[in-house]
Amino acid sequence: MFRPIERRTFLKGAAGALVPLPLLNAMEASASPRDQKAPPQRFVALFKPNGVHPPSWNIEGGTEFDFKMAPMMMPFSKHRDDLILLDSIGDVGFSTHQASAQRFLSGRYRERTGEPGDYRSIDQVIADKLGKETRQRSLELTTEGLFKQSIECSYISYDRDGHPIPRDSDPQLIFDRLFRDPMVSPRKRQQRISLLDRVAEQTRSLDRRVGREDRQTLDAYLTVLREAEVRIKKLHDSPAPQFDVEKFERPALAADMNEQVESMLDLIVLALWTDTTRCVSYMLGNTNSRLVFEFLGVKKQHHYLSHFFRNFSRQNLEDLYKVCLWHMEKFDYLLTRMKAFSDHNGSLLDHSVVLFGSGMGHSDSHTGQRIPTVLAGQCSGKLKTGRYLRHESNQESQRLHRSLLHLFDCESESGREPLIRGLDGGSFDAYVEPKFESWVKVKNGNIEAQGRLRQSDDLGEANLFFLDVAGKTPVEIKLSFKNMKQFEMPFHCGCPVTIQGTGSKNGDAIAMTLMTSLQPINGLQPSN
Amino acid sequence: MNLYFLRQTLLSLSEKIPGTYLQVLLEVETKKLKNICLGAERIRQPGFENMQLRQQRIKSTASRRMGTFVGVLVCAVALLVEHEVHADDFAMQPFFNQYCVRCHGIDEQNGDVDLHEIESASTGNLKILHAAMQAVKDQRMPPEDERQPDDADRAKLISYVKTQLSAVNERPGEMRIRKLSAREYRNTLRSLFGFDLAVAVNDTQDTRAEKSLVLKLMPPDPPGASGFTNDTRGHMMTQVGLDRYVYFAEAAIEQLLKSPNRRKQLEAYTGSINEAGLTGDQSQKLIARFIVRAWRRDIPEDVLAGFLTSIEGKAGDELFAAVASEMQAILASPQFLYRGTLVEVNPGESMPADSFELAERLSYFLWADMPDEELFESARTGELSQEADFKLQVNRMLDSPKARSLTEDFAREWLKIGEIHTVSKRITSGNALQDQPYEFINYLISEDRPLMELIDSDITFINFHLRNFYVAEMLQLKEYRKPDGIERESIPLQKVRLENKPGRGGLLTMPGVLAMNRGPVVRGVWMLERIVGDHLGEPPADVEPVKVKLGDKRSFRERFAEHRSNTACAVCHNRIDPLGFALQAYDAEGAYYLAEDFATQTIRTRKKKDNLPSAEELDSAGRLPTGEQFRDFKELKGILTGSYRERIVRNIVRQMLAYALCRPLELHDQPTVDRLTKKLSSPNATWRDLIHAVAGSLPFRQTYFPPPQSGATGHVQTD
Repeated sequence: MFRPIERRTFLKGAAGALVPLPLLNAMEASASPRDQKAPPQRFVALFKPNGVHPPSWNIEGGTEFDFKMAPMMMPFSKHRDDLILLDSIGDVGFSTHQASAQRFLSGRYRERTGEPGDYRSIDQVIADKLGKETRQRSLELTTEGLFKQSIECSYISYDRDGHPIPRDSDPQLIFDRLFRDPMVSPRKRQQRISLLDRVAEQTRSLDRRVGREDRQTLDAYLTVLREAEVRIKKLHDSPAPQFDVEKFERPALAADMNEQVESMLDLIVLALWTDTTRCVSYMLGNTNSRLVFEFLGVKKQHHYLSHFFRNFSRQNLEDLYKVCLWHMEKFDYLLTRMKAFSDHNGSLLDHSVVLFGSGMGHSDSHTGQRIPTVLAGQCSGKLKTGRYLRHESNQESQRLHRSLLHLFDCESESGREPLIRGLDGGSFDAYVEPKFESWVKVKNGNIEAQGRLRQSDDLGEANLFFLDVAGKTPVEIKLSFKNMKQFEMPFHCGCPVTIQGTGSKNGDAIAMTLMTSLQPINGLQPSN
Repeated sequence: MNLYFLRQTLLSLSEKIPGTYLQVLLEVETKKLKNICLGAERIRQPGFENMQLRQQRIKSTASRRMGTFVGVLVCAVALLVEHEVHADDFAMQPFFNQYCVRCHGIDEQNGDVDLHEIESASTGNLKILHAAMQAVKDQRMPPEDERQPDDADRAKLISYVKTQLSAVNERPGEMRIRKLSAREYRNTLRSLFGFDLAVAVNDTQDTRAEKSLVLKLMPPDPPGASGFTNDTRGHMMTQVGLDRYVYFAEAAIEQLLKSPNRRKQLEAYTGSINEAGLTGDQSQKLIARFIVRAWRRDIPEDVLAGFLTSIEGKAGDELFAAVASEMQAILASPQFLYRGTLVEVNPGESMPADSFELAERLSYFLWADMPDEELFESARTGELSQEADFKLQVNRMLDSPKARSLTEDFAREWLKIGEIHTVSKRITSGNALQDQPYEFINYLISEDRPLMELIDSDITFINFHLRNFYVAEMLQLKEYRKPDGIERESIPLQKVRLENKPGRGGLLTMPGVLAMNRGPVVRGVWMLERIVGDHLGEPPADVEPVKVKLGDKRSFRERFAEHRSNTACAVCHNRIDPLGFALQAYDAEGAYYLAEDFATQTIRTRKKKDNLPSAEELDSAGRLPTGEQFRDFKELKGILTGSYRERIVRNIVRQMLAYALCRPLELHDQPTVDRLTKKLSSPNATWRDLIHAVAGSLPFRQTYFPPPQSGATGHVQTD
């Protein structure tokens, strides 16, 4: 067995201390377990439940290279150069929770992914192609139980017949299956053989004690023991595993959901890096998740909070931010770990595609447009990252799926949808916002201004907004929650508006504290 | 029906009957069954939730195959000639020839019953005779439009068969080893280690997830011939099973020895552990205590020594590895996974079960779990064999929360109420509907209520999710406000007294129980089989199902009246329909919607009052085959708890005895059943009386091993 360096990897311990991975760059030459000329590509789909809160998520007024990441994206903004922020995925006007989970990896209608009668989600199409070369074909993971009332809410991966694929949620269970099975662990084989011998001995000691039928039962027991031994001994002839799985630390029992999810993300990265599997789908929750994030101090159900108009209160909004920021932090966690593992001439992430997003846009109105979609990783140079793509027209999710299948050379199975233009850095028809003027006037504490309204980058203050004015310091708008609700501020975020109100001016800094009028330039009101 | 049981029976038959025909059949059928079982196992892969369609497909294949298999069995039984019991010279055969053989003879064997040559009453035939006698006694047979025997002839046949039956001596069943069922295994492992092997999954108020690692990964046990899943005699070890058992053992042992959270549980075996970690002495203590608990009895010194040698002189990681592998060997052995491997044996005679065996029988009966320390101690000192101490133990165990298994295992499987939660799409109301019968039966047992309160009671258990069914009783509930921001919440049920109870009271009228059986026929069959304890055969294959024809204005009831005019149908439907149609006042969801009772405000339905049917329109009246007449379900309840009480008690006794013995009842259990039924048929007999009677019965208390057979074929193979 070729093992130039002690390859000890660590998973996060129960205490929460993150043990750094060894400097894997030193292992570059041997990082990929097989002597392959080209590195394998991997696909990870990470699903965020309950859509997003668009005022804090949407990027407005940005162009391909010149854009400002939205406040909700701050947790993973450090990976900007590894991302494509796709802001035009969507189709119909409205999305149910069920459709939202199915759309994520299967398009609007599940059979659209491939041939007629083929209901596979794209992760399964990719797994069928890549999974032949790895020990584990694919992993389908989740954190949450099954929503029985409508099971579509609990699945994103579907097989050829359109049956949902069972998900696993327990990091220990998956770790044991991947790295502790006698199939991969020579030490386990040794232990198992001696165990089988011991048990056979105990079984035979019962020989004289039992009647005829019982003897048949015990005979069968011995046969099973013997067959198990034969099966394991045969494994000695199979090629030695490239990794010393004994050195991998089993995930500790998770104290809360955060630890459970981080353990699972660690495990995903380990499974990809060891080339145990190349295709993973992971749901951070059901699409209508009613998880309660007690470890974040949030006591209300996520689905309730996600309807932030219907259930508006300051506390609810702040709680919703906490929950969504946590999702973003987990996405960041995954990317950070994938970058920490080197693979061929780059990091694991460089040879992967991570699809992060949801199946609906606005979590309260359930819009099916501007569905949050982020691609991370370059898939060995096939994707050009560090860009913001907002197409002139809606790009149906099937197009995205075909484009992803294209990356993995599964194109023959990708249907007739056209590709999304621009993912590889090529030209595309970008959305152009109608031009508008921006200005600000202050007189005797009365403020009048026109410009783009946006949420504060700091989501800790849910009632803090800014109005961007070209060439000037943005106007700060900090209102009472009543005042903020009166003008439905979150609804207008991202749009150009004309506002009136009172406040103060201190040098260049203008701050509005009471709003008396808000007129959107495009004329759209919440009631429309 | 249980695949394993069938296979086992065929195996034993094939040895008794010469010729290769059966052998060939056996091989073919076993292979097919194996494939079906494998299929069933595959779809139970971890996390394979809600693939009901597939499961159904495989189940239906399995039951089709089973049909063939049963056919084979019947042929085999017909070939089999057992030792004969000599009969008095009542002319039974002429009776049968005269009244029965036209339909149950050479040409036709309706209901798979053949009476044309039954004069020598073999033990195999006694069962058929018993059924025939019962049918003649109830005047179900011969059918109304056939020639009837006079009362004197009926009485002669009944007394003849009863004499035959009474000649069967009460004796315990043959002791067989049996595998722990998946649920018993889960419970036993939990008691042994002091913690549950849990699956990391976040379950919210409206999702469902299997949180037990054991139940998630183990294929569910098929119900045995007794109808209960603890009837696992003859279950063989499989590769998949072995892999799983080893995995569970490894996972639990690793947690016990290594996890800081499990220190308390470890110290329960070793005594307090200091900084230096586990010492050699403590390891020995651990193994010694562990094996006694795991194998559920004291272990001879020499056997124990075999488990201690490998840990001698070891320390640190080596010691840990040695201890872990010894514990694994203990948990992967049949001594742990099977019950009864170490029982004290005296072949050829009935003897009282040894005290550890008795403790184990008791704890798996009352708890579906291993004995606890107190029970072990009582077995060790021999106190358990004293009648007074035995009773004390039974009462102590019934007071433990573990006795809830009598509800959630025994009653669930007997009454087939485990799927009630599926009748509502909302998990919160589904849970409430499901919990209602559980809480109720648990109350009957824990508060030692009369047996007949199962049928009629003033007490029930509800919460706000059942408000549409129990409007008046809602006022008795403690005030409940859904917490802010919680859209759905499952809440525990509370005990309430039914105030003015038209339509409610007892198990049969619980909304979940009514909703799980849709339509009068299904409800009737359920009540007949589960409550009255009458067994129905398969419907004849050549009868048209009842269909609605275009333009047919008759009610469902009228169409069934026509169906009953066919004698072949009437045999069963005369028994089924009166029971089922008596529940006409309840709709498919289990709501009670009789117009006359609307004013009492104990009901609320989505239907407007004007649209509610009257009692006359609904017509719940009926006449039982035994002649009793009733106008509505309330009157039927009166009959059930009155003149039908003995039948119902007999059924309860049979069900509980079969569950306690983990096997189907045999003829030699009949005297036990008779005695218990007689004892418990008084109106005051309670649920605990029943449990005490079952636990005190001869088959429960005694052990019997058949004498060794000369030239016995099987011998345990050695490597």
